Amino acid sequence: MKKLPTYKHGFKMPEGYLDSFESRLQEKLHTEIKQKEDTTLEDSPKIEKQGPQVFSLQRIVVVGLSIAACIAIFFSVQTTEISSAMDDIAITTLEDYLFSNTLDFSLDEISTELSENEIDELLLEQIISDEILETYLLENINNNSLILE
Amino acid sequence: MTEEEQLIKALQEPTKKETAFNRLVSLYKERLYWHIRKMVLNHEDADDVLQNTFIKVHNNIHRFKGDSKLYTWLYRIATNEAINCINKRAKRLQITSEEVQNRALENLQTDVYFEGETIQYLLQEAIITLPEKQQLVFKMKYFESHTFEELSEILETSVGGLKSSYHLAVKKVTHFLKTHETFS
Repeated sequence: MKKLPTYKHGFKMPEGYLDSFESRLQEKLHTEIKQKEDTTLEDSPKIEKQGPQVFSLQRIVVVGLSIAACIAIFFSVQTTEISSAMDDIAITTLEDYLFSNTLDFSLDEISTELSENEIDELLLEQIISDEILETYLLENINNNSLILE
Repeated sequence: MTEEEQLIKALQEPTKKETAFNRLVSLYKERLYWHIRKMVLNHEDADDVLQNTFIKVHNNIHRFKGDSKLYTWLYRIATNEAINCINKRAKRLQITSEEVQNRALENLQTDVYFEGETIQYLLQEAIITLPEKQQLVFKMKYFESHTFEELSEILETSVGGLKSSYHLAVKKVTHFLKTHETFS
């Protein structure tokens, strides 16, 4: 292999940039620490009122799957009404889509963004009847995955 | 105890952490800046990424177990932060990361902090045609003169794999320069 001649990269940095770097970094670091403290302070009463915001794996799985199921069933019902061309799309395909990286958040993120009350309210909303939801969950969830916790 | 071990120990002791952190920043800021700058191409992004790198280091130093050298850990964080910066911009603008790099390259032509001549610009143009991993290996080997052993630790890839990546990268860059050369 013929050796490539060495060229300089051609970049330069603004004069005095490195001299002032530490002070700007400290400023940003302090702002971040302060923001974290503020967030913690704001969150404290909520934690006291509602108990620890720790979700068990089982709860996350159930809530996540329930939300996915609601959305999947909702979409499948909607698509039947709106367009017959969508009939061929299986619920699992929609689920795969919802769980794929095309969405910007994970199940953990969804569940941590919502309070327990909000999750309960969400589940209690009559978008999908309990019967349909129950049937779906019975047919589609492998209970073994919940026992592993 | 080596100087690096002393620094790590101090960084992990609450009472000495801030002083040790300042020492760490002063030791590595310039090297990391150039490493990041060659990845993101413009100064503003490089500054942002460098600050974020040190903030990550500050917040996670207690997790550093000493399995690798401190500077390889720092380079790894800086590399990830630079890649994140490019990917986040791509996501925000709904374009590919290659397009982000193309735009950054176009901006170089009017960048006051780029004083490269035609050949330097052409070299950057050649580099962004490489796959991400080859770009990284090429830049770190060609501009920063890291050894393959160092690269292996930073990029967590075998020396053989890196040599092969670099070999391919040099071949492609050479070919690009030959076919696009209009200067004497």
